[in-house]
Amino acid sequence: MTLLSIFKRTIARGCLFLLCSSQLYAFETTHQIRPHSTFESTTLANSCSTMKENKFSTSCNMALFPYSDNSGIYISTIGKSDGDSIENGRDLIFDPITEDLIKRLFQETNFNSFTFNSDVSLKNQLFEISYSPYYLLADLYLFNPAFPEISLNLINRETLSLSSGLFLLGDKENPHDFKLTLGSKVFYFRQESANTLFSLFDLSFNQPEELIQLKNTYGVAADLSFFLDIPYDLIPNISMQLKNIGSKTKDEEALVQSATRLAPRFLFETYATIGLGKTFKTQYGSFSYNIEHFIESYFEGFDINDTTIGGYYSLRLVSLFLGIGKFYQNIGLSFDSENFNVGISYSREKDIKDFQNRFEKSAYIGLTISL
Amino acid sequence: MIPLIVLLFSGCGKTTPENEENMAIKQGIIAALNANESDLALRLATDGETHHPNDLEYTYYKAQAYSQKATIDIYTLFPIIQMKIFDVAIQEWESANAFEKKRKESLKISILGDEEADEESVPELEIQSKIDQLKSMDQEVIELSFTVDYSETYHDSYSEKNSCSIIYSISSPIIPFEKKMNGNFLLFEIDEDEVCSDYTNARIEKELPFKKKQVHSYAKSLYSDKLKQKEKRRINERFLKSAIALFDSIPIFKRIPRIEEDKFPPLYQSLAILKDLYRRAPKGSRLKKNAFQQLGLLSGYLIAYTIKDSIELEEVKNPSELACKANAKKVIQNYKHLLAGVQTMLDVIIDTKFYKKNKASIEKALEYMKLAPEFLSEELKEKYIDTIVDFQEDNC
Repeated sequence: MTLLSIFKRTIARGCLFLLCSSQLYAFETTHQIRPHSTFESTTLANSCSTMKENKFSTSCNMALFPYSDNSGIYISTIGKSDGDSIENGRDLIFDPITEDLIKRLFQETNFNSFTFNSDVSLKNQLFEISYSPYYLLADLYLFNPAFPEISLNLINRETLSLSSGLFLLGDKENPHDFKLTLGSKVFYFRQESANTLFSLFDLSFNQPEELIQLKNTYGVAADLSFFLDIPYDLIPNISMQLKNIGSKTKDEEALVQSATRLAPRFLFETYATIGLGKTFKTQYGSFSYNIEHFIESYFEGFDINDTTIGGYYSLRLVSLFLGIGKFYQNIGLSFDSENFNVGISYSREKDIKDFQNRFEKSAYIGLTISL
Repeated sequence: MIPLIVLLFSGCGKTTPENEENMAIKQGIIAALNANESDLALRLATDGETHHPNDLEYTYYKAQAYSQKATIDIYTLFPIIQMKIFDVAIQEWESANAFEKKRKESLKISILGDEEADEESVPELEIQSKIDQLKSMDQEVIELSFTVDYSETYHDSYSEKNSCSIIYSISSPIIPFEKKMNGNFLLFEIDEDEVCSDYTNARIEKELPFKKKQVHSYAKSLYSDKLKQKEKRRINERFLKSAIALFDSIPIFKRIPRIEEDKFPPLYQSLAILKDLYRRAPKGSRLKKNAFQQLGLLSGYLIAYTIKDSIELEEVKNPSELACKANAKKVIQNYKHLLAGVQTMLDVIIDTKFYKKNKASIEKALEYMKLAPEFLSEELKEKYIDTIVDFQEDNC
């Protein structure tokens, strides 16, 4: 075998590997609270990309930026305030392992999740700068009662973003005009994460910090979104978004091929959304509905289970929210004033889909302060 | 080049169907285990192992399915790790230094023959080092130097020859082995025509080279007796500590789940698969670690189950009653579980730090295990039952 033939074979194998290597997501998880989420987008099950002319519109779809007229500084937080996950996660990680705890975890719910987001935004007519000091995610999956193991995914992400939007077609002032808007966001992120697997035996005899090793990653990515405003009531408006363009989430090779790995979807990797919806403003309040479909990567594949429906009703200071999907059912209420919004929602959710024994009942609280 | 082009157009870059199927099967096994459908989990794992014999994860899940069929609640086994008896056993082996210190004190007291003797009364004596020195010396090489205070003769009970005892000062490095008076003395043999009074300090020193062998052999004979007594006392001490630890662990033993006899076969199947997996899995891998931990738990369970099933724990009021409340027939009936548990535990601790620290003890135990019969014949069973019953009759 000559040197040249060895070289050719090596190149061929390298190309083959590049073409064929892919990440295999084992236990896929989805979460209602996503980076830059607000109370409203969370309660609507992230189905709000066509709900224009609201304070929360740009958190759903940056292409709705040209419709926003709110300027100022905003501080917002959204987090799970109550639920089995919080109690179980705390007990499992910080308290001694007991027979009762393990029985309860396997009999009630073997998947526990906690998420939290906070944002500080500066908005004006031209752009929006947003800093998110914390996007926290903790997924914990307990499996195999014969010898229990825990699959744990922990993420803490810090983001700084610059966003804007503009009209591409149509006249904003003309309600009968077709309008097409474009929105974009560029952001820098810094992330600490740990995706690990250990047995309950390990947890009983080691401190959690010995089992969880956080890794740091940095990067820049972008979102691109479009919104087509159709001036007929019976024809829904259309939105399309590409999220996390250029994002490279690197996973440990050892875990990539593991059937026990937890991997969140529609959070940090590139994905797309298509939305259909309409907003109606009447003397009895404002009604909005939206159907959102989430698609992996650049419009690859179709799974009806990744579709959610959002409904929104607002009258003066009070707003009602409804978000429905196969694995999420939310209902919420918010009180909106000029400087202060607070909302509470009740949710039934299955973040790990059919691998979760039963729906988890949770309560979310969101707060937005306008300065 | 052609294969590359074919792959490019066929959309290679997504998950391959084979990998997706593999992943789906494993997730199905996990879902079946979570739902306590061990038969389904076993079927899927066995099929997976057949089609992917090199994928040890299927072997692992097969062991989990068998373990689940044995219906042992794993969380009840965790206290086994913290059980006193294992804790004491580990301490015994690991705290050799602490015990060695105690052994030295015991040895010193018995050798000096004075229970009240302590280091202050024999300030310059380094007993242990002298014993070691004595043990390592050739028979002809003994250095002696002492000062004679007075002497007397008496018939030595260890030999028929005349012997002299010499009371000497505490500067002597020789260890006195007989307590006659409050002091130290040396015993050595003399010829028939000699008398001890002839032995002055100067003469003893002069004659000494010829007496060295007798002194040394005598010292060694007594020394070995003393050592045997020390060893016996140490063994008794260990048994006592183990009995106390066993007694303290009774509340945990009571919580050990009792399983039906028909659940033992899948348990042994699981053990066999885990042992094979432990041997084959790469070092440092998750499967090897899990197999090791689970083997430790299950072997501990077998040992603990034997104790629970063989002793009437409810009736034990103090450590000394443990042997008395053992049911001889059940002890023999559970022999195979005890043997399997001990063998498994010894097998998996090889190559661990624990093994390296206690290699001698563990190797000795492994040797005993080789001699232990796998199955007891009816004759042997009757013999052992009679032995236990006789012991109980004599001691309880």
